[in-house]
Amino acid sequence: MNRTSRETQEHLFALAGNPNCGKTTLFNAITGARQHVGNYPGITVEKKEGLYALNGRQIRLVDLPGTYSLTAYSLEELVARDFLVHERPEVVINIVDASNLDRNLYLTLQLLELGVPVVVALNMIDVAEGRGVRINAEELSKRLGVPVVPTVARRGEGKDAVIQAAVDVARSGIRWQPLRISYGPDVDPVLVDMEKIIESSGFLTDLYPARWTALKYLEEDEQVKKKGRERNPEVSDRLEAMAAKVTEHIQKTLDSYPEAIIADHRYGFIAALLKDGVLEQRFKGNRLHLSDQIDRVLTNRFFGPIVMVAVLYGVYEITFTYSELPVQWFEAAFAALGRWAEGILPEGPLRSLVVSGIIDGVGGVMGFVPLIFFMFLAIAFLEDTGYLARAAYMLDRVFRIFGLHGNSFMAFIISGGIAGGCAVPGVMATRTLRTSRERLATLLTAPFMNCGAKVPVLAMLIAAFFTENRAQMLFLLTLLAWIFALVLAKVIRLTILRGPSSPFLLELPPYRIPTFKGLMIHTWERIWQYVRKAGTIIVAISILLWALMTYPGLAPEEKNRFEAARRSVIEALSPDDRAVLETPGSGTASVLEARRRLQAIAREEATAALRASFAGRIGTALEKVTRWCGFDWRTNVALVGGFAAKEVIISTLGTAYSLGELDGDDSTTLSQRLRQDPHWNPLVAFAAMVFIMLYSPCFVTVTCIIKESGSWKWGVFSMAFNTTVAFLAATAVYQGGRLLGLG
Amino acid sequence: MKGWSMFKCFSRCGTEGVGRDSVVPLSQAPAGRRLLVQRIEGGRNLCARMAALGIYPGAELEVLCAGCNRPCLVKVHGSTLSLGAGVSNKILVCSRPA
Repeated sequence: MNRTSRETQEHLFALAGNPNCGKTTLFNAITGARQHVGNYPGITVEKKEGLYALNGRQIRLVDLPGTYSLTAYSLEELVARDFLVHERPEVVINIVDASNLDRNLYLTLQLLELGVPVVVALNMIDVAEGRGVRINAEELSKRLGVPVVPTVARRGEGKDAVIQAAVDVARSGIRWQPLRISYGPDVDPVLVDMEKIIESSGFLTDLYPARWTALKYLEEDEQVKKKGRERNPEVSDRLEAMAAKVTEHIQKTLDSYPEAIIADHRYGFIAALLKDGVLEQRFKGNRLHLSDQIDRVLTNRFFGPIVMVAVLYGVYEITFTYSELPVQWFEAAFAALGRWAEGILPEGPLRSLVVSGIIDGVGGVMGFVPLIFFMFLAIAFLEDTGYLARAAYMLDRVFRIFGLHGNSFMAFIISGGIAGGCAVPGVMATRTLRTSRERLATLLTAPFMNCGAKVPVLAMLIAAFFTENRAQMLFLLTLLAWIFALVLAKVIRLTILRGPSSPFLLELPPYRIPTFKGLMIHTWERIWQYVRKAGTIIVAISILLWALMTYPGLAPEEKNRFEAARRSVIEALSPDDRAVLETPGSGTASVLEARRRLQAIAREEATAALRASFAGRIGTALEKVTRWCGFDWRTNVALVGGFAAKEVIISTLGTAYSLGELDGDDSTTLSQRLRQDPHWNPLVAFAAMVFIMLYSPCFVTVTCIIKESGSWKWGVFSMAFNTTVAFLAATAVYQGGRLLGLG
Repeated sequence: MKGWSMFKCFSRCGTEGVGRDSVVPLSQAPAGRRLLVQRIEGGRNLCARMAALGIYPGAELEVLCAGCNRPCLVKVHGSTLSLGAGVSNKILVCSRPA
């Protein structure tokens, strides 16, 4: 897939670097809002692309996942490697943290060994200087043989110079030229022999340099070996035999592994690179940096957990305080839109579809955008400051108790551990867990968290029945979600997924003050994903559900019965009264009474029609079971719809109640309607919230669980298991509450 | 990275006159002191992954917090890593020779 013409307007560059080296910051600084976030085909690692124009040239910039190395030990590394090999970017901009040069150059060496043209962005030179480290970029560039550009990504310094350097490299038409590092007398001879075999047989040489393939065989790289076996089993077997022989030799004589020798020589190469004037340590950096001092408090055994709970609580307070007004504006705007549509459309199925199906459905979802905006903003803030990693570190011990892993924390958080988020990426985030037991336990329990789709439903119920303690209530529900997830994870790990835990490994990035731009970009990405989902799936589901709730409608004899009842009311009126019946706000007491009765008949008819619809039949059938937890058929219909996507619960309830109350004047919000409904009370609402929190993940999540676990059985298991748990918990709440005389 | 070449994945701290008995797993190392990685036990994977994170024989590190019932907090090359017991038990360190 070589880009044939170097002179076309478009260049393809990739950004590579360690996690936390400022890669995303530089990416944001260069591309600004012109980004596209997607996934790599078939897998779930996020793929970020951005466009940048320089002197009329379009540059397509791909932000590779942050990696420490190019081995095959993690999905991120594989993705980065495959992208480089298959997409062949013209230049890789390698962001290197100047304050941690040795380790960052470890990746640089591997990029150079792969042969891809590299431009090094020497980032955070300001931080390095603060630590007494001075780097001679010119000399480093000479020794590495690639351009080295100092940058401070946070302030956007050097970004143009980096792009310019990359364009220069691309235009110079430089070819892939792998770097050769000597790996010493134990490894080098066999590497040379392997190279000869590889070159003479053209083994994978279209993809990788010969020496690189040889190294990967020594490192027992499963992906490369698999490709090799497919391509040429004979050569592959020979290489494997050679690798096995030298490995055995190294183990016997040196009590070591090829990987260790290779790492050793790479760091030796780096040490030589930095010697004699490239890196100058002006004062010893052994004083504790500000970040470490903050950590002394924030990860303190005693203060750490207190601060953590306070921080998480603060997220709610901020979210609710600031989102309250905009949420009301959104609701009012959609209510007005509904009235307007009702005014211009003739009565009939179309009006019903537009008002009840589309506007109510989408409005119910969009109305919570401000809430989700502030929630995501808070999470982006915690992520960008570096606090989220500390939380994972502090929680590892707790997670271990439940048979999980500190990294499970991320999956839980992404799924909605701090309410908001989504179980779909959360389930995907379990890929950072390497043992399948912990991973399965995490991906089965992460959907219990209150995702961004459940939050609006919970918020709506809270607004209806727990007006006084809104933040506290959502906080309580979040705690409950965690308790259920952890306890059930333990149950799963003690029964169907028994086994030991895997090691914990996480870098704690230095604390940083997030940039406003970075926060906005991160928040915008997530909001946009939510809105896009609302605009596509949700509209479709709203329409489908509207149809389910509208058809097949009442039987003719039923219809006739309501018609007859209406006629008898009208016929009882005098001709004068009949004339003013259609004019609202006028008429005698008997007219008002007739109007009231007609409305009651209409309500009854609508309710009967909904009950007779497909959805109503399902909901009614389920009533036999759900009466134990206090749900009527309307709630059941909404819960069934919620399997498609949890947001739909709101729109379904909205549709169900607006269909049942054809008053014309529909400005009251769903919260108010539920409050007025005799069937609902705080106890029912709480049982419903518990049920909604716990029951079957939406079908998108179930699909992901099936994909991630590699078996449809886990998908079915999660649906059945979660719904059972939800039913038992909601029943316990409802029956317990009634015993205590609540509700 | 000073004195790097003396320390291989299989090196002994003893070469600097520090007794073998001062070699301890990272999980039991004293906090606040500069230490040298002496050896990484465990599989091939771990050795390579640790190297990518900057922990390799001869690398200098400082323990910020160990044995406090949490993953070990280690400072290597200016970055802070937290390593769970499964990892930190397999990294052998010795105190930095004077």
